[in-house]
Amino acid sequence: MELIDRYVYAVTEQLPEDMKEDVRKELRGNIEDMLPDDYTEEDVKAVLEELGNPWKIAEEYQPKKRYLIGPALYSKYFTVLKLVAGIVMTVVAAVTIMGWVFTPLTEGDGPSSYAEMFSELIWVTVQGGLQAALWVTFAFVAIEREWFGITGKIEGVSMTDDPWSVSDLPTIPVQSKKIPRTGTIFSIIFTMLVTAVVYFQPELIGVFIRDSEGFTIYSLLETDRLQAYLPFILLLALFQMILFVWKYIVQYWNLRLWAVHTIASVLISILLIVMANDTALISDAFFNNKLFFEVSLSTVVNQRDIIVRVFAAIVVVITVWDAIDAFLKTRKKAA
Amino acid sequence: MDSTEELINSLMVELKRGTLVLLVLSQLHQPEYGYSLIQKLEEKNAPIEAGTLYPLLRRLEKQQLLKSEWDTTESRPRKFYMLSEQGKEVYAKLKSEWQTLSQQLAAILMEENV
Repeated sequence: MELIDRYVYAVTEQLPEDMKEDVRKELRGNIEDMLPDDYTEEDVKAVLEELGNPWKIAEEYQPKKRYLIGPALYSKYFTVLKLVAGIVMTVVAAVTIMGWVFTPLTEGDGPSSYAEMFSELIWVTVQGGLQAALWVTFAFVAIEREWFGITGKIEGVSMTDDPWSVSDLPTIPVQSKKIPRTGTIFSIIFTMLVTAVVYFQPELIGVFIRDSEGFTIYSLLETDRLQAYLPFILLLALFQMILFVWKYIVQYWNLRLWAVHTIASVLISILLIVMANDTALISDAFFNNKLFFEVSLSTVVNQRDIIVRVFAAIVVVITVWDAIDAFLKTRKKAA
Repeated sequence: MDSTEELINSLMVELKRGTLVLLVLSQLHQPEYGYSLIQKLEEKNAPIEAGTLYPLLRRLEKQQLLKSEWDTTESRPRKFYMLSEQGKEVYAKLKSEWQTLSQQLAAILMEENV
């Protein structure tokens, strides 16, 4: 009977392989039991209608989790999804626009190429947003399904069926420990912009001098040498991004967050100081420019030394100050 | 009102759902197959929807409260379910819990009627 076949198929279609055949046989037997001996198509229809919607029955049979992200994680998922997709889209759009500003159009400048640029902007932005959504979703599905054994280790995430004790209670947030979300968002965008400039247009970092032909850029960095630093810069930027998302989610300082934050800023300081000291990266010629350094050639090397030292000192002071400040915040108690 | 009706309906479904397992376990001291169980419950004025019962039997089997066996001696193969040892134990416990609960509830509801 074709109707029975189709009904049984509809119920078992989505079931796991190992139970499919058994359910199929049993359900078919049950349906045949419910029919009179010499049944007509009308009888079959009546029995199937009595059984009801096959998808509903299939759902009752289904032993797997029937959701990707459960209620315990759902609101967190949504917050992070909005944040990450929003940031990625903003930054992608910003980087694209920056790209246009710094690469003057040559031929075919006209309404048609503007339309093309505009549609390209929309396209990359939407693509960025979709990519971000995909990865955020994947991460949360992994947490939900307890893949990679990470679920229990994430702060603020507890599954409802885990055993619970009073020590699991969250501490009431102390206002002075708060990491403002707007600040975090700004930091994310800033980090991405700086990274994008260093990666795509490093020659833009320098001193702009106005002269008769418009602006001339005296680049600070030697582009060839910069290539050697790029992997470190990108890794650190990624590290920072993860840290920012973490800050955005937990919103309040804690010791572990502080430790990772400090590791990140120490690494960045080291990188900055190493780069400043690299004469192949920042050539003496940069300091030997009469337009903005009123010094004679003989004092250039000396001058550079001083600038680099002062720079290193500033970096160290800021890093230490920032670490102490953040540490004090983690220690603060409710007023 | 329509929404009150709907609410009552969904609450009724929830109430009944809790008793389904007890109802099904109570009938499985002897082996039964899906349709025979439906008929049996219908005769006892406790009809259960076929679409609910079949998946439920399977779930109880997976929880090891029921054991099952295919009977292929008849013209049509049938899967028979019966209480396992664990199932008997769970049933006895559930039954006494239910009796306590229904007595308590009856007493409380009675009180309110006064």
